[in-house]
Amino acid sequence: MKGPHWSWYLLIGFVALAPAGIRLATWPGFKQSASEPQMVQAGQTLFVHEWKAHDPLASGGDGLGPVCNAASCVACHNQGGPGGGGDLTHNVTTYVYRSDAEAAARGKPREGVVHAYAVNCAPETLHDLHPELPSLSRPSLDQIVNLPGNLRSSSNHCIVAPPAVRLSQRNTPALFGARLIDGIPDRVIIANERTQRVRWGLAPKKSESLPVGRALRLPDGRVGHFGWKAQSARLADFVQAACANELGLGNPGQAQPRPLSNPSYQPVGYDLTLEQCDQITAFVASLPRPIEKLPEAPSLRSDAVAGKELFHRIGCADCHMPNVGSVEGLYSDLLLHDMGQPLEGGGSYNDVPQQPDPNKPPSDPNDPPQPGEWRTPPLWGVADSAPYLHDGRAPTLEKAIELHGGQGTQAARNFASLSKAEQDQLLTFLRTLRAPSASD
Amino acid sequence: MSIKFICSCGKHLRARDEMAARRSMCPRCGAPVGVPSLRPTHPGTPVAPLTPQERLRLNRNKPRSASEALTTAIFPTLPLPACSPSSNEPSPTPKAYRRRRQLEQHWYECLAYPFLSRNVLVSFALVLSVGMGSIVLALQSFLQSRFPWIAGVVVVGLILAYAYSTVECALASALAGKGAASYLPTWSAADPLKSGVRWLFCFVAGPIVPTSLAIYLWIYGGDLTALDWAIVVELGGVAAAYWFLAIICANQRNRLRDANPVRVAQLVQRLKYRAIVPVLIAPALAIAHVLLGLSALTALAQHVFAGWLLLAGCLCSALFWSAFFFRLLGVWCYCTKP
Ligand code: HEC
Ligand code: HEC
Repeated sequence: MKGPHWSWYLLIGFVALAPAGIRLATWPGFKQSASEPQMVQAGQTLFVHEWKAHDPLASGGDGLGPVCNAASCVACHNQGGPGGGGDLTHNVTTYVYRSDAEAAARGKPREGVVHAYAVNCAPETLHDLHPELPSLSRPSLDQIVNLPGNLRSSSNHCIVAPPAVRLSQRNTPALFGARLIDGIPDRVIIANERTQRVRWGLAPKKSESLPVGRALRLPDGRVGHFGWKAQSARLADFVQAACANELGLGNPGQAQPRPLSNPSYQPVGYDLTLEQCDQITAFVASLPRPIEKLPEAPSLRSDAVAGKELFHRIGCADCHMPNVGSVEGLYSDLLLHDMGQPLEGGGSYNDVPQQPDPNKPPSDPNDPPQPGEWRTPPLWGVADSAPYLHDGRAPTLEKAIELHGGQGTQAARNFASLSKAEQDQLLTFLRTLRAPSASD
Repeated sequence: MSIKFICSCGKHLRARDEMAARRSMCPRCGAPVGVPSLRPTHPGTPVAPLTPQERLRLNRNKPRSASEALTTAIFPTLPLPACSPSSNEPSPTPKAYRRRRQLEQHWYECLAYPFLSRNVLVSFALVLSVGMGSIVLALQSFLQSRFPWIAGVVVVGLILAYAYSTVECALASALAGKGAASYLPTWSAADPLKSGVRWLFCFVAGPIVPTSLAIYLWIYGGDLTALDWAIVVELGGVAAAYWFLAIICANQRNRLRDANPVRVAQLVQRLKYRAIVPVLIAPALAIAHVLLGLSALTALAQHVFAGWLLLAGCLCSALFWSAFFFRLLGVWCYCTKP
């Protein structure tokens, strides 16, 4: 029998190799664009600028407000220089209604921010959300969360929120090294998700106790990188949202929020152009990355080295992964982890525009973040970004570790079972993770 | 009680005790058959003596059945071992009949093969699913010390080696031209170890490359698109096909070094159009089983019993199918031996 013509083999080989060829050609790499110096310069001006109503820099709109949380970016992002983290006094209060119907009944968006200040209009208060809540614009953290006694900073009573609304706060994170996070390809974050699942015996994506996180897929298919709930895919998106939500500077990327106290408020136009937003993004992207700074004293130095080893051994590095893709020393997997009921907090700082779909099963891996889910915060620069956790409830590193629940329970237990000396070694290691400008 | 025996055409027969050591006729092929005696009386005489007419008819039947085999075009140059009159099997016991059974003539006859050792295969599947399930559950429960599950992996690996050396017997027996029966490895550790080494070697000598590529793509490729899935499935298929063929090559002359691309290509060439089975059909089933098995292991976290049941079913099916495919390929190789 005569065999098939050789061209058949060629054709089969070609067809077999074609998919791999296409895939190789379109393999996404680490994208990173250096920002132009004049963009950075202009962005810095906008970042530190004290905005006013009808500000000359906001040519097209109403300037600061009508509602805002501060008058400049740097008012919150300032620890260790412009772009750093912020203290409790600048916490942002967020709310979420438990159901769409509840929100519709009150004529409010399902989730959003209760802004601290108002310009030329009545301030937003909790009372606007629900008649049972007090008329407070700037609740303190211990009014929102029932913190254990040793964490309470004042004698304020905790507000008992009605079941229809959930209140929580967000502490200001540092922005150092944001460009590196921005450059991490989506597939690298998804790879973290996969390796964690394989590592724990093909554990389900939403495990209650195993450190198996999930990458947050936004409705457009991109993967979240920024925000306590990983709600923004790119730095530029987050900056646009921050301009609108924090300062009331509406821009083509994100409309400014309407005051809860005055939902019929009509914005006159955009406060910022996209170009101005890009300048701010360029400035944020130009912030240097945090550093690992070993102490001078040799004994502390060896403690830090031993602490780093412990950090891996007791399972901290499962979530706070030292390296992600080509970014070294990040100490985060950028995945959402269920951190347990005490750390729950719903609502969103900037809109996660997806609503749970009632037709989908509740365990769909592409669901929006659950109240108990938080993105592992990168620990780089952690020594210079107190207070800790999403609402800053932990004043110290020890407290932050102790409060890990849900998927972090086991690691926290492991930490508690270390000897005092070993715990100190681990904390010494964490204290070597400094903001870029850190000096002793 | 009745006597169970098998006609040379493969039909399972049953006779009353009174028929022991007497002659009867096979209801399927019409050939005369000797009912085995309850006690071996005349060593060397496989069946009770035939009458001259019967002998004549038997001889006339034989070439015809051989030409039938030809027209089925499954094995064109089939030397049917059990049909050859110069059979020199000495043992007259019922066991000997089992061994002297004929090689399968049609591909679907091989489907019966795994059922001959069904008890063994099902037991392996059950034991393996319990072992694998325990390892996965142990992984999921913060097992701090590594020892228990390393031990578990070793035990499960050993059982797996036994299971697969059993399956490999399907291939080896067919390659040696032995008729369908339940072939089992010896209980000495040497058999499964040799088998395990062979499987591992055949995996490392080739399939490991596409497998690693597929795993790499699954982990680092982001959310897989249809194109990515096509590549993963293709790589998995190539790996499974090559592994399968390499194991056959290594078994043919019992030499590990035969598991090389040249021999594999020669084998494919020899099988001609039948190569579609090891190259496409078996790998497709293998991939389906791997996916099913993985989803069973995933389900284990939420529903232990359902997950385990699915896993056991999947393993069982995998063992049965692989026994079938090995038997079939073994028969084909035997028949196309140059
Ligand atoms: C009222 C205080 C406040 C002001 C003013 C503020 N931020 Fe923030 N910033 C926050 C808080 C709180 C978060 C965390 C929000 C979240 O993730 O839900 C945050 C997060 C961010 C992030 C994401 C960081 C990360 O790694 O996830 C960026 C980028 C950012 N802010 C940029 C800006 C810019 C640009 C401005 C000025 C337009 C600004 N912020 C003004 C409080 C503030
Ligand atoms: C299951 C994954 C996981 C593990 C394991 C884990 N963490 Fe965390 N960690 C998180 C998440 C998620 C947060 C944010 C929680 C929040 O904000 O409510 C966090 C927050 C922190 C913070 C506060 C960071 C900040 O900027 O506010 C510190 C410090 C920290 N972890 C240290 C550790 C140490 C030390 C260990 C090991 C004992 C550890 N973590 C283990 C997930 C984990």
